[in-house]
Amino acid sequence: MVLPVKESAESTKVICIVCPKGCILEGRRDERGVTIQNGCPRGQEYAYRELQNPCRIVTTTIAVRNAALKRLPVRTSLPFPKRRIPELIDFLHTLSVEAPVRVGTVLMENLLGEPGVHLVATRTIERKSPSRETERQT
Amino acid sequence: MEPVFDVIIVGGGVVGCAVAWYLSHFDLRVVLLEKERDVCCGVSKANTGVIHSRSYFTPHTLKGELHLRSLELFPSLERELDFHCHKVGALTIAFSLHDLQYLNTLKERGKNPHAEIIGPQELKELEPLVNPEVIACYYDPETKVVSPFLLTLALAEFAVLNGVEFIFFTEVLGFEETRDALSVQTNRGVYRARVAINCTGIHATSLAQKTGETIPLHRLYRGQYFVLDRDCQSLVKHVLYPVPTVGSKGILVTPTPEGNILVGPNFELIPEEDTATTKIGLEEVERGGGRLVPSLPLHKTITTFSGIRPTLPDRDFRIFFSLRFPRLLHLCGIESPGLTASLGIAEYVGEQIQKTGILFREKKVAPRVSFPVFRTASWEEREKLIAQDPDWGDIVCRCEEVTLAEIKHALSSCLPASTLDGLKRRVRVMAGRCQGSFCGMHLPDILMGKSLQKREAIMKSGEKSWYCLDTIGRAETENASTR
Amino acid sequence: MPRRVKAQVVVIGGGPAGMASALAAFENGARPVFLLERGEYLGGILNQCIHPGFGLHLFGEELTGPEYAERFKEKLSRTQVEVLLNTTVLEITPQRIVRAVNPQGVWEFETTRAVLSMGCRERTRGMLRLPGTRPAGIFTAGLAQYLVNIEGLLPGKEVLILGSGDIGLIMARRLTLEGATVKAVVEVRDSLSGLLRNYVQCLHDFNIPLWLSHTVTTIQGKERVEGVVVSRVDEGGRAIPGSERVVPCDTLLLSVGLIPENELSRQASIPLCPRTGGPVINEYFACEREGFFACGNVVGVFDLVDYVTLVSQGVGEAVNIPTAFSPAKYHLVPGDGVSLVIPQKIQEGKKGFLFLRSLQSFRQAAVSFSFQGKEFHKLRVPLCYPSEMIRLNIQDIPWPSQGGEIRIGITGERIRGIY
Repeated sequence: MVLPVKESAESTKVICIVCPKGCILEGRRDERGVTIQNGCPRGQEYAYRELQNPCRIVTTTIAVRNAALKRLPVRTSLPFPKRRIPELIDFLHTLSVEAPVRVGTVLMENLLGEPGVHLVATRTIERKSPSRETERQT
Repeated sequence: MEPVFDVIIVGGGVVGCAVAWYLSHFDLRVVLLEKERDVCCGVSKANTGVIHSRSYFTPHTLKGELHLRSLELFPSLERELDFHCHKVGALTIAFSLHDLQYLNTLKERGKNPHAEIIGPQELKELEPLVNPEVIACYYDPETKVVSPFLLTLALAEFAVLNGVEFIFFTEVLGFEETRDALSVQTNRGVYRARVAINCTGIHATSLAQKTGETIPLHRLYRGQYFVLDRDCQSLVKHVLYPVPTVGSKGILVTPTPEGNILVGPNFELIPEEDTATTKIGLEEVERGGGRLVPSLPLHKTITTFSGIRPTLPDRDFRIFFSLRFPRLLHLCGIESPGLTASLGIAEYVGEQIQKTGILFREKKVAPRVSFPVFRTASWEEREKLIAQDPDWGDIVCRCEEVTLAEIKHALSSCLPASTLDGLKRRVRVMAGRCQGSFCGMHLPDILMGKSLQKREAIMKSGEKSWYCLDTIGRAETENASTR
Repeated sequence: MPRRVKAQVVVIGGGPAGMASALAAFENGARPVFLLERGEYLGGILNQCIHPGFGLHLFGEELTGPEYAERFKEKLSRTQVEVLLNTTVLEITPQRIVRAVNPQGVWEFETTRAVLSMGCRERTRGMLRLPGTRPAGIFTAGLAQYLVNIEGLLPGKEVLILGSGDIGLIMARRLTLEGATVKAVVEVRDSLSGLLRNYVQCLHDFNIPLWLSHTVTTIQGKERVEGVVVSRVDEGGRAIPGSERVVPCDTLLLSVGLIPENELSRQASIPLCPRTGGPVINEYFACEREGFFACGNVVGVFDLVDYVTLVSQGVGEAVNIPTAFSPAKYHLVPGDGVSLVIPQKIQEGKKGFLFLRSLQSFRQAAVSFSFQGKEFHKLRVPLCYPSEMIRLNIQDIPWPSQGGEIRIGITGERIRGIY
């Protein structure tokens, strides 16, 4: 399998996490592109992505105002480029939203200009109630 | 010129607080200076917590004399402080004929018609798990256990209620004699008094040396302990003493008032103040405890700790006025049984102060009333408490069943907790089997709400013992603190 | 006067197990069903597990902990399951009187079926008997996770993590993202405790070193942690003298295991299994005391919340099955290579799941079932890790016709290192 990439020759090892076997795949970059050695087709695909543009689902928390809780947990709707994660976290540190928030709400679209990667609330948070009372759902 | 106190007590351990308690019965102006944030932060906080009965006193010593005087004072103290020692009784275990002789000595000293030497069979009925190799055992019904911190706190609270001022974060640096008073120099200014008492525990001899006394420095001995889970409660019901070795009472197995079992201490000379536990030390304690109770469930350990005892070469207490500063009374070598003897020491110190010509006029004192403890309350009492204040129904620490009401009280009482350790020692949050893994989640919030400190400024004990090091995020909200 | 309530089902603990069993009990017609939760919210530990990785088996998609919990909270809000929050159960009698308190007062439930779903707690420094000083800055990983994700506090800046279990790995990433430096993850065993994928995404992604066959032997620092002593260990897990090195740090995180919380079960005289630390149960997750069920991590620590939900739903159904407490025919015992077998008892071998955890990592593994010293069933497993449970259908196993003790062992080629 030869994939086109314009970089100088180097070899990178990738630990495959597609299944629990944990194969070590070797990606070789040369003038012809990226060559993935060993591994199953799914693993090779994974390793290719890892070498080209590794992305991760990012989960963290942001500030929330007038809420019963201090932090709102959030996630990216799609995997976000790994190399930009510190930048993203830094940006999210400055962000705050107003309660109430419902789980699944898209809080911001195209995070840091990444097309299609949105910021999603992962928890429902109510507004702050005046006192800490026992709730009884019926 | 600063006001002149009648008495300045230096050090807020059990002895300093007992002196404060004693003096608060008289019409005197008394202040206690403590370098830490709370009472009972040094030698007093880490020991076995046993009120040793008269069987275990050391004859022909000041230590022994004050031990006996103290025991006489305990019953009235318990009423006055609304504080109760747990009379669990003790068993001293003999494995040899030589040990047996020691049991006879104890019996003679004890002069207690209810104390007796019993055989292995009777012992087995009292404590089924004790080593079957025992040949005899001395049963002493008078031995009691206390929480050293809560006893110290009760003494201190009584003193506060009756006019003694407690000043924290104040470390004594030196003394200066003036015409009519003694100046006590501290890191936070000068205090003046007609008499000052050096109750600084392991620092007492170095402070005495600073004032020119020719007294050897304390030798410091460390003792390490295991604390076992409360579900081991039923395994050992009495204080179990071995026959002592030279230098210490040996490694005990002791039930605590809170229902844990304490195993320790070993007795190791250390070069400097160091309350770390060590692998070797804990192994020694394990062996010692295992000798008394072979099936001791040490896998039920919830925590380990160590305490220090400051000893003089003759192993006695030395209480004496400074030669250079005649208004300064030193208390040196206050080691085991310092907790037991603390009331006797306080009375003795009172007598020494009187000798300087200070008039002791008795005054009417306000009794101390202890705050309810949810865990030991009956269901009826719990119901009533919650009806009075819903915070009694809000359990913050699940292991020790500590309610928000108790925490709030500890944070606002006359000697309030200002640190997590202070809170732990008062109400036992973080002191149970999970060691704060659960209640440690909620305490920052509760502490912040109550004392308005920034969340990242919450301390475990000392000035640099931050619980957390920062807050997350930079967005401004009313909930999160901002930089 | 306490509030006295008669119930058909009382569920103790509102984490994933409690929510699923209360819901299933209600859906199977039990009335009334009470769900008692001591926290302010349902969801238990899921609320602080903000990372993805939940729900793949059950929902076919990767959810975060809070999202997973929200699905059940939402379902519960559409039923008449009575949820009592801020409500701590303090006592359960063998006769199924459940006594609890909340800010409204004392509650006393008399219930036909009690479901124990109290979850677990973390092993602490004290239990490890880890010597040294006692400064601030020592946290269990779960406590640190709560402080970061719920309270918005950063426990420390220079962190060493003891234990390579999943919570430790996840926290290594979380703290790194929030600006802390994780000096290393230290693991006493010679292989990874957590999932490989967590190693890759939590440690490898951030260049955090993993030191296998090492442990923390002493804690240093007077007020706040100043450093820890790390030593290499031999095959038996004992520290090797002379291998000590001091790692300066301000924080020690402990991710050294979970313990099922069974203080209430003990009060109710429910027989516990010394191996799992949880109640002895059968394929219905019924305890060996009439009327009591147990589900989730209170039984034994599960790897996936999906499995917890699965067995808890089973409990919700079983509360109506009269024979759930009938005597068991088979007694399952962990043999060589097995750390955990759930359930321990089986009545007929016709329904339910069997969960196994291996003691070590194996390649080309075989699970072997033996009765009276003779193997009667063998199953090949290409790879097995202590971090991943093996789940089998009980009915797929050819149980012997005669009842008795069944020993289950796992053998294979040991995997050392990370994978």
